[in-house]
Amino acid sequence: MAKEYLGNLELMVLLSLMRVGDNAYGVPISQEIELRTGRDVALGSVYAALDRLERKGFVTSTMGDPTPERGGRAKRYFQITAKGVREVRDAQRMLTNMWKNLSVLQGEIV
Amino acid sequence: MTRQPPALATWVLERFCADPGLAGDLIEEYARRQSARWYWKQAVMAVGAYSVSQIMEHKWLAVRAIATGYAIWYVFNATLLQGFVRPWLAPDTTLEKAALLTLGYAVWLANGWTIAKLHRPYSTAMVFAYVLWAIVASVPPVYTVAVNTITGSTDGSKLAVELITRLGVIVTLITGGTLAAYRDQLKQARTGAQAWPRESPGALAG
Repeated sequence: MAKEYLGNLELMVLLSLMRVGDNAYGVPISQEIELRTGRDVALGSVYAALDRLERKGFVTSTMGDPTPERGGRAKRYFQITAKGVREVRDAQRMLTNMWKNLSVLQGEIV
Repeated sequence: MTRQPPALATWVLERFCADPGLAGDLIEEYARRQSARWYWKQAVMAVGAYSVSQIMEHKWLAVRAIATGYAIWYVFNATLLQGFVRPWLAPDTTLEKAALLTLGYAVWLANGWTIAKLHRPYSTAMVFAYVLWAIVASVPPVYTVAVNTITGSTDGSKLAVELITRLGVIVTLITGGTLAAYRDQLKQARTGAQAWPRESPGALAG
């Protein structure tokens, strides 16, 4: 089977998931992305990315207990898998290699 | 005091987007933001993102949904209704024309319902796929009428009727799909069946 690469949003979601840790569900994940990147990401897009990541085996999810402040709806908690961590490392290595010695980014060419 | 989020937006979200955590997350965020506009935008974007994601994930199923919708349209609207019922009825009065129009929309409603029923658990996304196809298929005839209107061959009212009729078709298709999905959810609630985790694609025949 062909290797599946991470999209930009998927990578941001995985990194955010790693930063948030144990309490990772939709709201803190999207807030972390907003805080770190300044981008206001729609929760629906975050969930669509998380669904894709779960299908690829990079994250797993479990349902919490329903809470009154959420209208009796449960939280869906996400955890990154070992495969997901490996994928983030691969993406980091690839991107770092692409960035290395780029004169345009070192201000030599404007 | 914390206001409740728009109930209709929550309803739309829960009918069209199967994720059990998303609606709760949006309600939680709404308590912080207190913006109905933000909530509606998030709900609509969530439904769109969910449907597109499901279509991309199950491309052949989307093709099947479009083929199903097209077959129903061809047999009932194009052949039976336009080929047999219309010539037989030969509608002259407004009442007869209205009856024929109602019959046509009833078929569209049944079309949306059937696509939803045959493509569970991805019914919403698959109805959405057919709606997208119907929009694309509407472009050539609408374009022709628009050009005729601009060149003066026909008056503007024909273009307005064309647009309203096609918009009506899309709304009717979505309504049919929604009714089918809603009925399934009611049935699921009655039997206490688990909506989560989602069924595998292999369970489509249900």
